[in-house]
Amino acid sequence: MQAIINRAGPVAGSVWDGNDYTRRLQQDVLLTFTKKIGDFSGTLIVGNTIWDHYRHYQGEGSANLYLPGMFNIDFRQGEADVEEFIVDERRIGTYGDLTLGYKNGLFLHGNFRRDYSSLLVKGHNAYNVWDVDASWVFTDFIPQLKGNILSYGKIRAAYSQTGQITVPPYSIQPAFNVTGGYPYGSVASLSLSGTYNNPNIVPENTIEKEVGLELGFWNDRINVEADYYRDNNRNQTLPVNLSTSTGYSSAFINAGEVLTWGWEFDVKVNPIIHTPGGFIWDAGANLSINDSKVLSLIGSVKDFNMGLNNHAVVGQPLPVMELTDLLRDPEGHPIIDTTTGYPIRDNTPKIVGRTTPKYILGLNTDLKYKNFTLTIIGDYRGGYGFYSNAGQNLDFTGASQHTALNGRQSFIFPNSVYEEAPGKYVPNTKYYVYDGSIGFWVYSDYRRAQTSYWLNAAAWKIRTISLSYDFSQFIQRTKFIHGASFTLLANDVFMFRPKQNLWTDPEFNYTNANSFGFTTFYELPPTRKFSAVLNLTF
Amino acid sequence: MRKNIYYSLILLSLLVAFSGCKKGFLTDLAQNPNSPSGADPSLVLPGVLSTLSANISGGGTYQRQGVWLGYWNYSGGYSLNADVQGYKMTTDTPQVWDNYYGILSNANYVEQTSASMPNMQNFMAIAKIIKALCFQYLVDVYNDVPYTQALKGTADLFPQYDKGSDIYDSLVNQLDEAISLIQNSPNAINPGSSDIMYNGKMNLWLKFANTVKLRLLLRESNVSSKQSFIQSEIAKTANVGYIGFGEDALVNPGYLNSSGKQNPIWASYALTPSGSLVADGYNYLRGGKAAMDFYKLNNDPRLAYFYGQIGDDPRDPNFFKPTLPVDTSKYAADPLGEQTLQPSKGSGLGPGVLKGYNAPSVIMLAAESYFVQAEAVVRGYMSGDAQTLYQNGIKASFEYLNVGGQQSVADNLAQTYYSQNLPNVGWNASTDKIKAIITQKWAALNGICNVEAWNDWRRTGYPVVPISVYSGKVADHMPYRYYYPTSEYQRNVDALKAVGGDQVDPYNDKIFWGQ
Repeated sequence: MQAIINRAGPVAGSVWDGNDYTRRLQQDVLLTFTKKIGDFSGTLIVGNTIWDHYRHYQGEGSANLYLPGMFNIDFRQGEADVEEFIVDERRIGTYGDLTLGYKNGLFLHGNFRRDYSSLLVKGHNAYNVWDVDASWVFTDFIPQLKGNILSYGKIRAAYSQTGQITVPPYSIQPAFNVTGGYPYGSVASLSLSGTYNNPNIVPENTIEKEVGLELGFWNDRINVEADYYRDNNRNQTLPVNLSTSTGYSSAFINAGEVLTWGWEFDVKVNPIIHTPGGFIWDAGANLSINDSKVLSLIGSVKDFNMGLNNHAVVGQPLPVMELTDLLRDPEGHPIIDTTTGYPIRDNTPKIVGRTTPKYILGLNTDLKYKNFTLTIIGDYRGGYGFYSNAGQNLDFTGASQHTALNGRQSFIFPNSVYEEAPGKYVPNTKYYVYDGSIGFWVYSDYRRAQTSYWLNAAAWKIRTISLSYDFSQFIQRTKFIHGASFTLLANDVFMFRPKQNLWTDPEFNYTNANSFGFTTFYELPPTRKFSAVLNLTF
Repeated sequence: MRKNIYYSLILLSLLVAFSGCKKGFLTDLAQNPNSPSGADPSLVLPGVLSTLSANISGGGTYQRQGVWLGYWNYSGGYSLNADVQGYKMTTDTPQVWDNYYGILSNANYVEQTSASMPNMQNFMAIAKIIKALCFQYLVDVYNDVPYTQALKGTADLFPQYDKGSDIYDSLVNQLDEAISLIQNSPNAINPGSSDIMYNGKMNLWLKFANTVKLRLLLRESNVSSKQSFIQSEIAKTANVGYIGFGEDALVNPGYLNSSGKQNPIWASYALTPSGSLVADGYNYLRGGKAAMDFYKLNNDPRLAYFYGQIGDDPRDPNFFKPTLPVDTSKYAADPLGEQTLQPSKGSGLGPGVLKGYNAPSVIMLAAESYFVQAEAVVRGYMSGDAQTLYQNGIKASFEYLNVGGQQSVADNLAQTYYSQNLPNVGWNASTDKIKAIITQKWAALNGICNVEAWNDWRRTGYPVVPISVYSGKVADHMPYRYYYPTSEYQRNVDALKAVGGDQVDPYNDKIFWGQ
């Protein structure tokens, strides 16, 4: 065998090996008691849960490997990069759950749970979760209501309190991290973390009130459900960005009070049509309307930045986006700089709208004929917007269709005005942009103003179309296979969105769990998926 | 049923038994195994110093000042950097807000923690000096910034801004306090190797503090109401002295030829640890015509130290050993506003800026100290021999660059240079002494302390450098200040608006000391 002689390559190789160990331990003790006396029934559950989540990561690597083909950290120039962290989190929960029933139609239910967590300091680390709810199937108690039209009726109500701790582990003590680049030989250095670790964080607390109605008509052929809920969330834990002049760039804070409310409606028709020939058509629709309002933050604070241009603002839904806009005249026309012909950015960000859908409408339908089933599921989301940072970057590189709209030639910025005299704005018909190519699309304030890329995020989508054929009846003679079906499936098939949205599916956005509506070019573009599925039941 | 109850009782007792031994089961995890919750000041100081020097002389923070002031330019073969070539600024770039407040957060920790520990006066004093430097750099680009209400964590989430002029006055006091702490604490622990700047030589820290103070006061030379204050403050600590030959404020934690561990300007513009050119580094940031012409016209051998020869780069061992006398035809650069010369046709940065992966980074050069003193003497703020100080400044610059390969040669070449009968080179040939001093300071700090040249231009109108030839420029002069950063608009907008920060026009509004 011939020795392979590698020469140090002109391009450095890079390798990173990580060892990630995760352990989750959970102990549940659960006791269930049931008792029935006459028309009354009772179930009591008491339990205890102990939960431990441990993670240990160690990695090492180098970006300066010198032997082509040798992805081994031994063959590196300079020092190796190493990293280690340990995360351990524990929770203890104790709970009880009681259900009382009368004649299987009237139910009263309550539960209580107390959780302790290792995430917050002692004294702040426990919270209660409890709920009382009742439901009444009134059509069983008042049979007169039941008839040819109304076949089922139920009302329910619930009042609950929930708690939550959302900070990551080790968020309550100051933290010093190794300063970038260090150690240099024997010289070590630590730097204060940019995140202020707030020892005063307390758990979140939500009071939720909910009422609901369920109705069935024509022998449950049509089912209708309606719900209304109203949540008061106190001490919501928000990750906020701080002016670095505070000494920190971010912190967790407990926001004062956030109100969330909404409606949910659901209609099912099973079936719409059922012909004697075996054709069945079912359909359903659901609509949810969700809204929120920040009632208070901390003291007199009116506005916190939560990252990705999302803000918590008193009096506004949570979250709302704040973006920089162009300078405009009182009628809203962009004002141009007469020396360059470019619009001018207004550096103070403005609230442009919410980043989570206010309306979600879902539609689904099933068509069955003999062994064939065709299912279509679609939805509409609307009442919100998104900021396409990806579009901004596509304009920057000149890769977007947008930038070629005027053949990269000089043009008059549409709908613009210029200030002829202080406060006097005249429609611009003469000031062409200085450069309709890189000058405008890269360096002008049009591209730099974020509202140029703030778009209506509304979209209709056909999420799923599936056609399946059940051929169980043909194979019933075999002993091993009891059922079989074949399905052709298409997911995320169509999307219909407003014309102004040149860029992308608004659902594909970058998020940090609290902030939304910010699309970058790091997200995979939406894809249509086609599949064929064979299902066998043994 | 009865049986069930028995079983449950057994289980419950087990549970109770388990809970009994779990004292600390939750609280034990409060201790962060990844990051300590406190640190000795000696462990925080090195990072404070190296981060500060990387900001001042690392190239990135003040890159555009280097371009505007004619030191640097961008390469042909890249699309025109219209922002820098056209003096355009935004609230996004350039910015130094987070850089300096980040250092301040740590320097403040060193100061406060040292104050609560016995015999830590030296650490406290060093922290005060660094804080003064950082706040000065903030005032110099933003004017009003949070100072008295800053660095309080969640005790003040929205710090109010203080007047730049008031901050300056307070910084003078802080520097006085630092000087007195060092002078009056005989039992103080020596910072030793954690002081990666002066290695615990506190007498040099004294001189450094006094030099920073002098520069700060001199920066206010246009402020008529402060003239007597400037004079008396300089006199108060004149006996401490200022940094001189061999006392450059240089920082070196022990830079290595490893990723993330190289000298910062080397890491950005020279070679990777494996010896190849940094992508869009050396071949992107090139020499600038204005400074290059100045060296060429005045027979200045530093030309070969601030710039590389046409087509040469740091992979060539000869890059580091310029031959003297300099063949000026081997150096070329574009003027501000143009990017026509490809890397093979123009000069990049030279071996005096890219000294090596392990070269120290600069906080302040002795050369600057001499020029600052010379100006203070010319303005009548202090006594001394302005000519000697001026010539010492040139000599210290030649020594820092090690022109000719050894100190004695550098000294001789410096003398030959400043003995020429050329305006702004020879002392006697220069009718406007302030102009000569500032011009020579500019010539000495090329690529090393770019921001000082911009500061001087905004204060004195010198150095005189050609304005950009780019026709799309947004102003016909360099800006006078920065916009406040986007983050302040997003996170502290009420305090920003309270001082009119959202109305700042960087092309017309000046820092309080501006001219």
